[in-house]
Amino acid sequence: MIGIRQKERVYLSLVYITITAWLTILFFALLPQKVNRVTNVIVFFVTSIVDINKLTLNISTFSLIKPIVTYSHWLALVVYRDITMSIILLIFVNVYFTTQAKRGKWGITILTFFLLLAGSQVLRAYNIIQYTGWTIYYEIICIAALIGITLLTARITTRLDGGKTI
Amino acid sequence: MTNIIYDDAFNWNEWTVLIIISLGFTIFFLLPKKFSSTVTVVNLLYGVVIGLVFDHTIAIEPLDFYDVGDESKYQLFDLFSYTMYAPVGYLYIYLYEQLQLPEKKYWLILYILFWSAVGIGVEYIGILTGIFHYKNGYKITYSYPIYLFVQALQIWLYHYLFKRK
Repeated sequence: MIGIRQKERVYLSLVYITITAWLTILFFALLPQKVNRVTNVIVFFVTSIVDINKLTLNISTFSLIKPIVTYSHWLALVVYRDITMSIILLIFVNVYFTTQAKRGKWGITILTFFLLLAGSQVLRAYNIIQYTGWTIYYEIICIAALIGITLLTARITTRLDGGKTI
Repeated sequence: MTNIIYDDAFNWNEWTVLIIISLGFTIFFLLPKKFSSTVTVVNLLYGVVIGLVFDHTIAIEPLDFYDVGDESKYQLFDLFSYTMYAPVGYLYIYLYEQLQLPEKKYWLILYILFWSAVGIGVEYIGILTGIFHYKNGYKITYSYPIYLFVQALQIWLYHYLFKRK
C-alpha cells in the first residue's frame, strides 16, 4: 500500500515528464534551421530501435534495471523513452549539422550528453526505474554510444541518394 | 517480474520467423528496384520501429498483453525476429505504387483493410507456432485497429516525406 503523499509524487512525476516532452517538441519545432525531413525520420527510427532495445535488454533480459510497475510510472517511462529522448537527439542532430563553428558542435554534443544523463537520473529520482545491477557509469557509456550512433546515422543518411534527400 | 518459459528448443516459432525473413528478403531482392535509397531505408525501418514500439509498450508490465518467443524474458532471438517486419513495410509501399493507388484514393481504404487482414493472418500463424503468447485477456481482434492505424500512418509518412511538392 502506498500513501497519499507517495501517490501524489507518482502522479507528479508523470506531469513533469509530460511537460518535459512537450518542451522538447516545442524546441524542436522552433529550431530556426533543420536538416531534411528524411534524415530526421531515419534518425528518429534508428535511435528508437537502439533505445527501446537498450532499455528492454536491461529490464527484461539482464534484470539490471527494475521498473516500478504503476500505470503512471509506465506511461512516464514510455513518454520519456519514445518522445523526450528521441527528440533531444533530433535537436542535437539538427543543431550539429546546421552549425558551422566547431565550438557550437562541441557545445551541443556536451549539452545533449548532460541532458540525457540528467533525464536518466530524473527517472531514478522519481522511482520510475531502479538500478539493480546497472550503474551511472554504464549509463554514461550508453549515452556516449547513442550520441555516436545518432551522428553516424545522420551523416550516412544525408549522403544517401547523392545528398539529394528532400 | 516472473519469467514464463513456453519452450526451450529451436522449433516452430524460430523456424517461422526464419521462413518469413527469408521469404520477405528474397522478394525484396527479386523485385525490380523502384525506389531511391532513402525511400527504401525509411520503409524497411518503419515496420521494425512500429513493431518494437508496440511490443515494448503494450507487452510490458503493467499492461503485459502478450509475450514474444520462447520466454516472457526478452531474448536475443526476439531482437532478431523484428527484422521480419522490414520487407513487409517495403512490400506494402511497393504494391501501393505498383497498383497506382496514390491516384485511386478510395481504393486505398480497401488496400489498408486487405493488408490489415494479412497482418491478422500472419499474427494467427504466430500464435499457432508459438511466436506470440497472449495474456491478461488480449485477443487477436484487438490487433486489427492497430494494423489499420499503423498502415494508414505509413502511407501518410510516405506522402509527407516523398510525395509533397
